[in-house]
Amino acid sequence: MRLRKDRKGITGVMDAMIFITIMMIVFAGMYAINTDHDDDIGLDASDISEQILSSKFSLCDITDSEDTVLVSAPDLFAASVISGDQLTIEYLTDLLDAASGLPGSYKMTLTYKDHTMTVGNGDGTPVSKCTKSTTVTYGDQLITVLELF
Amino acid sequence: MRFDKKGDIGFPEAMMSVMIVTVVLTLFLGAFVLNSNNSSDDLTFNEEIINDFSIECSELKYNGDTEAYVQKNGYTGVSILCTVPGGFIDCDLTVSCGTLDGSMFSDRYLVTIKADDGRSIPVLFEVAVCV
Repeated sequence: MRLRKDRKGITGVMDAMIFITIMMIVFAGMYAINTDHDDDIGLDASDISEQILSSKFSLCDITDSEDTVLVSAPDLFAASVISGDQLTIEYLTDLLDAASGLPGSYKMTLTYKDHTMTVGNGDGTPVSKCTKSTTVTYGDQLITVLELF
Repeated sequence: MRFDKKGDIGFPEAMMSVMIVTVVLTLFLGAFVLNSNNSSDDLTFNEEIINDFSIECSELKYNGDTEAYVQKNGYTGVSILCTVPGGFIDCDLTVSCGTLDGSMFSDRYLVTIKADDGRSIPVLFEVAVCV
């Protein structure tokens, strides 16, 4: 069969193209709705920060002290920021590895009285970020920034 | 209105148009059916079971009735793996009941659990429920 060399069929092809465009928009809408559902799954930075900062430990749980006195997490972390205590960094690394589900895919920055301690080596654009300021018993504020990548 | 034949469609063009529309419509219906069959989206985890966990004498304990929880929420099975990051409470606990078949929902929760000695310790709960 020889193809007709005229442009009479152009209207039908245009209709099909318009139909494809409309369907692409509908597909995009359906994909966007599904992506929104995926975002609901998993812990976000705010949940994790809130739970960590509301904790209370015995001093001997995390540091190498033998004292069993109870300390709140912000007090303990503030002292560790000043002293650069490696055991606190190890504990927070273990905790954040477990909570994020992807070891190292986060960055927690604790700032107290011009001293800073960083846990994790996540890089790039964070999928979730939370900044919290907590009052420390012996004065000043502990600023905690948690980014999940 | 002028009646002419400028908008007439030729046979090959008509066939092409029909095929394009048919293929795209089939793809759309396929995607729609796959999307609507994903019934696990409606499945959620009832977090009240987490209140039944406690830390007594530096040991993570579960004091609830798993079978009643599963029946009450209409699940066929539930599995909860609890870990205490940091290692100062050397206790991982798994609570499970029923079978994990069918549509599944799984998630992770970091919850601070109060201990009988006054501590509040973050515990990671990895849960899976099925209907």
